[in-house]
Amino acid sequence: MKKIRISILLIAIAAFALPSFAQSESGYGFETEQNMRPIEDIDSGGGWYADTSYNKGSYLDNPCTAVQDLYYVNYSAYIASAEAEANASRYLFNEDTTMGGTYTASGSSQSDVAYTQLFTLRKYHKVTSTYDAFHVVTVINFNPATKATTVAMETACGNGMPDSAQ
Amino acid sequence: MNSRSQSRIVRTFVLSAAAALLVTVSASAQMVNQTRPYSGSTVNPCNGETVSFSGTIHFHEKTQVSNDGRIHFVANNHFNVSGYGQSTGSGYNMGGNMHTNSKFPSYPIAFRQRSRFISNGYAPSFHATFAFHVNGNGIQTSVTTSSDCK
Repeated sequence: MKKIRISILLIAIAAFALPSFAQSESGYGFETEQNMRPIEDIDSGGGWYADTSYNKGSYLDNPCTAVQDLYYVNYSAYIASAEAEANASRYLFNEDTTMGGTYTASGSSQSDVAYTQLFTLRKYHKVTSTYDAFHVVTVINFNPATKATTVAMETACGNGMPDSAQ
Repeated sequence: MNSRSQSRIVRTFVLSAAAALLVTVSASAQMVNQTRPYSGSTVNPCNGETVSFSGTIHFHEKTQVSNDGRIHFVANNHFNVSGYGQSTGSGYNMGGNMHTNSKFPSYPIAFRQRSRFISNGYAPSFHATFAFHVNGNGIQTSVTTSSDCK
């Protein structure tokens, strides 16, 4: 009887907890190359500049549809990052993303973040070849301690705004 | 099944529901969607005059704990202010939007957005940067302003 009660307890917890994690993100992570060089732009006033770029061929599934509709895409992203001021722990990012194939998307963004620990920026770009909320997400991971940048590609059925599902 | 067994089952189910509720609450999102007044003064670095400004900031923010345990902070904050140059009498207008969708382990963190203070008089236009300081602990965001002539 005791085992049955414990089982009921565990099943009930799992059943109630599942919806709270429903906004999970599917990932297609991969590492990127990074070329770092001393910054020469006086306007930036920072101590370093780095740019990261990669091209990736991948099969993507539209997460807004119930059926699996994998299509091949050519995805590329370019990230330029710099320190706003020397030793200020404030970092600037320029991001450009393009995606071609059956699913197409493009866009760019800028970010200015003051932080000292590893953080992640998620850049949502609408997939223009579909009429739903299918977005491709350029995920920028930056570690201020090492100045290392890695990039991953994800998909989402939402635009990444505060009232979006994803 | 006797009444004692039934009582145990009921207690178990209530405990299960309570535990599940705790898990759900801990993973739920905190939303901010409100417009607040914002005013201050800054110096137009292109001519040295003090510019007093006032307007509003619409804070639209969502904070939740991500699957990996980090804070997932999403903001789309829109600011719109108008100003008055104390030396030239020129009017200024400025608007902008700070958007971020980011994850990080703990507060505080700050996101900045640079926009142009556009003069509608004789004074030159200049740039101002709005810094959104996210402090957590229920205080979502405070804002500071700086300016430059680049």
